[in-house]
Amino acid sequence: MNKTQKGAWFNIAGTILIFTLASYTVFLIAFQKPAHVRILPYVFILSFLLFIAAGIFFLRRKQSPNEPESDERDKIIKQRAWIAAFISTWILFLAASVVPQLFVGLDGSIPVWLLPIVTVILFYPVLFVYAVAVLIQYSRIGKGEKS
Amino acid sequence: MNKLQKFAIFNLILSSVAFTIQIIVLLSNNLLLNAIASTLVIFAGFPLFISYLYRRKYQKQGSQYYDERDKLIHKKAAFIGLFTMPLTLSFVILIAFIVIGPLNSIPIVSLLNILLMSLLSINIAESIAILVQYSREIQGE
Repeated sequence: MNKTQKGAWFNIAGTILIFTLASYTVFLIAFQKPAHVRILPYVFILSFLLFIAAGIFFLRRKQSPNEPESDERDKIIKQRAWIAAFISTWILFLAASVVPQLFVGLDGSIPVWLLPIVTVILFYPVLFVYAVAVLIQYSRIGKGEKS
Repeated sequence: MNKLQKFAIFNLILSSVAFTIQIIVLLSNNLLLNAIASTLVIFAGFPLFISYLYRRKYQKQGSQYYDERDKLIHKKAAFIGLFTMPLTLSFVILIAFIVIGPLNSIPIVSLLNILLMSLLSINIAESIAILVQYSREIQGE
């Protein structure tokens, strides 16, 4: 397993964990509105930054001398995965701006403090799509090599 | 001026007009105006998409039309464009925080305006980056 694959697994684990917690908090705020929970989304923004920092620290450097070097193939895989992530960004952002209108109605409103939280939360699925795209491409290559 | 620069100018003008419309609509807070303007801006996306397809077709015509230098310019411009998107989003949210206040609300239809603005900002930044890089190349020559 090379650095890119390790990074992809790291992203999948991190995004599932933080996205679930962050979504649950937003759900709590939206339906129960306890005042003390409002601070939690900002903690998740901080945890997202820590998650990225940890990823850079642990995955940028080589963990063992046996770890394979990244080559042109890895570069192409990453590029394709970024394209998939970019497309998913637009689908998610479009869904995030249109779907609430269906529930609240066109006359509805959204609190300003929720905007940065929604924006940051939406980047978790994007990162997830990137990681899944990377792993799918590697698994296809793996199957191709076996047969 | 080559064809790629003309495409960039076309994209820049169309995106800037659409971006300005979005700002006016966002500030006006009128639902009907918002619906009309958002539809117009979404329709403005079609010429932008056709322009993109023409550019792709032009790029595939061969190295005499689209060489390594052009490729590098467009790669840099695309990167700058993509980098602008989160910046625009953050800037709009920051302005909303300062002007409206974090505890106040904005109309839900404004979310689509913000999204369209960030989408258009990619095109604007990319077009400007292409034009600036070509003008620098010409000055260098």
